[in-house]
Amino acid sequence: MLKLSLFLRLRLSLILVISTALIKTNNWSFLFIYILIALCWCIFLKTPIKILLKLLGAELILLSLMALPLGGEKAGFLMVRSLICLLIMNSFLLSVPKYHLSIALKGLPLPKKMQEIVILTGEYLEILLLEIQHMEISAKLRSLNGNSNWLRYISAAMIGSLYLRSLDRAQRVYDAMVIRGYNGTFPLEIDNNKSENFMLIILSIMVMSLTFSSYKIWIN
Amino acid sequence: MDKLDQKKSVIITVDNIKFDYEKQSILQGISFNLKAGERVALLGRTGAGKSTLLNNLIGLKFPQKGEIIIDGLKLEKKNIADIRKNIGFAFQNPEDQLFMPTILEDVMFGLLNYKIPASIAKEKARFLLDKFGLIAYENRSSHELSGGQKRLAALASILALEPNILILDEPTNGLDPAWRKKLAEILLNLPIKVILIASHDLNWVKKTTQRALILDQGQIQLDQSIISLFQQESVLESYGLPLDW
Amino acid sequence: MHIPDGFISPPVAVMTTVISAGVLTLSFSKMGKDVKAPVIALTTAFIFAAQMINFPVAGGTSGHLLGATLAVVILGDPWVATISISTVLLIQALLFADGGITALGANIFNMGIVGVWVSWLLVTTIQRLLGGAKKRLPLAAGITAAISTVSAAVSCSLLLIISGTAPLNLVLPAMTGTHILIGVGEGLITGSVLRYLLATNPDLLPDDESKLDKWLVPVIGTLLVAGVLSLLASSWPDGLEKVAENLGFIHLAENVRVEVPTPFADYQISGINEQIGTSISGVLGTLICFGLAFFMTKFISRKSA
Repeated sequence: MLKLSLFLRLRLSLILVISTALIKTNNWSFLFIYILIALCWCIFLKTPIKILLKLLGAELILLSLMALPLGGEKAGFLMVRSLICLLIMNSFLLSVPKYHLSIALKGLPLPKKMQEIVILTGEYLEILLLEIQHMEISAKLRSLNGNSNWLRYISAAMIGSLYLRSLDRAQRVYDAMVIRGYNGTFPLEIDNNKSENFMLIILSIMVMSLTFSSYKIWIN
Repeated sequence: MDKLDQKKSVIITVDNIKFDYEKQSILQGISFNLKAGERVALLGRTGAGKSTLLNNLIGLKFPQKGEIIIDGLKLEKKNIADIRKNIGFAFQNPEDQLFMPTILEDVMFGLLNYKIPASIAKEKARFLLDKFGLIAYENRSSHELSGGQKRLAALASILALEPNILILDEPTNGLDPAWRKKLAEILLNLPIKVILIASHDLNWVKKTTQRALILDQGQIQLDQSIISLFQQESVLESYGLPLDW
Repeated sequence: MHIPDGFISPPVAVMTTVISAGVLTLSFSKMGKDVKAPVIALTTAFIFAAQMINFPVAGGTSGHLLGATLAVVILGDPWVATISISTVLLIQALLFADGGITALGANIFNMGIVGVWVSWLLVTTIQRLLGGAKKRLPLAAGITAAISTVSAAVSCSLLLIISGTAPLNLVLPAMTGTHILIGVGEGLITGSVLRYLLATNPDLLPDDESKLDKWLVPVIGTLLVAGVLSLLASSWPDGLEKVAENLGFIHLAENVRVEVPTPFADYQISGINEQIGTSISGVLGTLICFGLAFFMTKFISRKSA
């Protein structure tokens, strides 16, 4: 089967989400086309269906809490449209091994400075999340309980010490960069695959024109 | 001739450096030479000033008095870039220096900063990863590596710049005996002129270095061969370094 | 208050994306020269990670940090805080499907721009009102955090209203009402964390601010109270009962998030209310009061000092 690179899959997912989100409200026939596209995308990516369904189920509760009070056809449409976007994005996310997500961040079309911060953040997020987990486990092991004042105090202490540790680490990371010649610009080597870029452009034009036509038909 | 040879072979000269931090005197006049071919251990209890001394050697901090000469160049702000290229420094926690999305990019990071063409940088990085048995992980994130692998990846990211001097801060932290052995074997075979290792792991430095500097209360208290040092258990103990603990 | 995909109209999506991109570009050029990328990145990762910590608020409910005010205080620079909060939102949208891709601009606008700048505007003003001492910072930041959270929620409702997604009388009172309670939680967390930092590492926090001139104290105080009251008024008369019910849902949302690390939306659109006028005048009143308070503390008292 055709194998698409991580970046291409991310970019395609983003384009699909954007074009779905922008379909004209209450244009059900186009929404239906996108449901089909989203399902194909999900099958193509071999997303683990069970986890996906669990996630979307949880989403559905929240979306309906938001949309249902609006009532009527519009609420239903908003809900389904959002759900398709979530289906596309989650299909991508679930098809990628956890640690490769920070690699995927590299493929985002962002300005250089922003990209540097996004990549560094993605890289250290995992480490800090683990530290949080360890702190919480260690508190649990020492049977943390008490009134909410005490619990608040403990939570604040965890957040505070996480910050102090992050700050220390930031200094060391900066030093490690400087020692290897960092001078304010982040060297990033991104493989630019011409045939993939071409494919991306063609596909984006296709889906975007589909979305645009959802407006025209509505006018007619 | 003899004298010239001697002079030539000195790679690092530390001459009476003093360093204060927030009115506290951390380094109080430190002097020593490191010569080509030497592997030296920097020992001392926690808080003795080892980290501060290392930070001074790599120009992350500058001493208020005294001077440091590295490969003939005085360590100053204006030639810091040239000097840094010549020194590899491995942090205590390898996670601190693995910040790129993939291991390969981490190893390429320094090379690209020094404007080495990407294709050459990549080749060099892959060569090193291959040598360290990490080539299978080149496109993985550092989070997927074990502690020992992270240590080697960090080392590769430093060696990519082909430094003459290698400084390691607690390199065996968190490594099991097999990894400690592997790391020692790799270090002993590196084409590097001077290796300085700050460590608490006495048994490991005994196997990897020839000479030891003991730092205590901001001064070099002892400078002798590792073998003779290990025969003076009580001396070691008096500097907060009890053997076999 | 992460808006998902499909809930804002294309024009609003384009408009907010352009504004947010513009403000971010400006932030990169305006931020202090000596701010290091790893410091921004690690602080950002810290805020993201800190959001995972459950924080007990009251009566068995719990919330979690949003972080705009905390970011402003610890980074000491609203431009950098905007970059930081925007990065959190970008990563949440992309890697956790939390908040929509097309709504990213809107979410950055609400939390990264409105949330951050309201915080920056108010935190020193309130600190100076409370006497200016550094030990007053946690309280000042706590109050600010609550107000900034509600402001971001109001901005979020306004975008949904302009989008035509929800009618004003439905969304504004419900959003504001809910976020008053979330804001109290945010204030508690922000204040407690800063109290911890003040006790352990006071050097990291900004120094004492000068006291306000005596005659300014009642004026600024009145303005701020009026502003907060107007903000509360915008949610009127969405009864407490409704809000409590909403909070129940939020609690559910929290649980969803803890179990599966993904999307959740911490707000609802519900409740019916005809008093549109109160809402709009509430928002306007707030803006005017806070703006006046800020400019008076910034300019008048400096000149007279």
